[in-house]
Amino acid sequence: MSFLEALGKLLSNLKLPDINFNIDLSNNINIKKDDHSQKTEYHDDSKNLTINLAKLDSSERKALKDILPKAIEDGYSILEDETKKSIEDFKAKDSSAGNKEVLDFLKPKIPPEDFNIWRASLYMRSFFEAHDKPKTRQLKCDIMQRYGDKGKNIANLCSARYLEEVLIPYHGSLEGKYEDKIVLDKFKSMYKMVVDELPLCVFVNHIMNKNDIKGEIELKKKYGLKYINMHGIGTSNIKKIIEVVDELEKQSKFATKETKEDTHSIFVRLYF
Amino acid sequence: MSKIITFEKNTKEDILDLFDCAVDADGYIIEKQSGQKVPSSDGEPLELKDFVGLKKGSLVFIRTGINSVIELADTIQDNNQ
Repeated sequence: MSFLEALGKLLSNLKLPDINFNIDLSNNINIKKDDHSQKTEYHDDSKNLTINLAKLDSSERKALKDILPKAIEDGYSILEDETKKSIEDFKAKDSSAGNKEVLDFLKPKIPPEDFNIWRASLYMRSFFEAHDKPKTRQLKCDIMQRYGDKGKNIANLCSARYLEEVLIPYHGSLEGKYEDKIVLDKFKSMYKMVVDELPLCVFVNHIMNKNDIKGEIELKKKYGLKYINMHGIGTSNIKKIIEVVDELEKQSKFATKETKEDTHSIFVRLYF
Repeated sequence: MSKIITFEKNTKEDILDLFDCAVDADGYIIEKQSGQKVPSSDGEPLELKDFVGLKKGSLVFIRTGINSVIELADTIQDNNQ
């Protein structure tokens, strides 16, 4: 007997006058615990069935306990409702035209283990760009916990749009000049350096003090690039970056600068 | 068809009870019969606060986080195909 057949039998045994036992259970089954709701509820329009644990007696609860393992056997996932919403939201954003385009670009060119880090980072970026700070912080924390320093670097690079503004244009600049295999090799080499070492940029976080920021700039200057980008989010990081840039300017440590600042973030490019 | 059964946050311990699991004094999910901590798919013991569901693979306890969301999104996509 399948899970749905067993569930149908259980519902039938509950002897509920308001439920037609030929209901279509294909849409959603929800389990809740609420003293103020009925034992079960079924909505014809949404085809949602809700089972209320608070109203089941011990034999009914045992009957449910007997059939739930069958649901797992039949390939059902049993998920907290917020997780289901996150999955639906993730799937919608992951398959959006913009994300799909950059993910399709990346997939054949990067290490397979990096691919989900970019998917997670693009998802995080959607909240970052919507100024949803708590969700952005939670997702970045998740990415860092699961994927370590590489996760942190990719999350930062993704938020600052290095994929669209550096990596993809770099690949474009190689196409036509070299054979496909050389283009791919050069891109892979550039990608590895950008993701592992962040040669172009300093992402200022709340732990860094002004000396740490200056030290990072000196470290990145060793790559011999014409410029370094500094990124900061939040009032204290913005303040630190402005002060560091003022101090370096007084010491003539760079030639010129470009600054973009809004209420919650700052970008400064220092040219050497 | 998405093969998903959802539960509300306040039923977490009931769901575990329906699968013969409970929560120990330190907040970890344990098997009622053996008292042993159950691992999540990453092999680490799982606290109730991080538990967000169960899936097939004998019985896999799912840990909260973007990694699980991506894995589930891909799995559910597969079910639909």
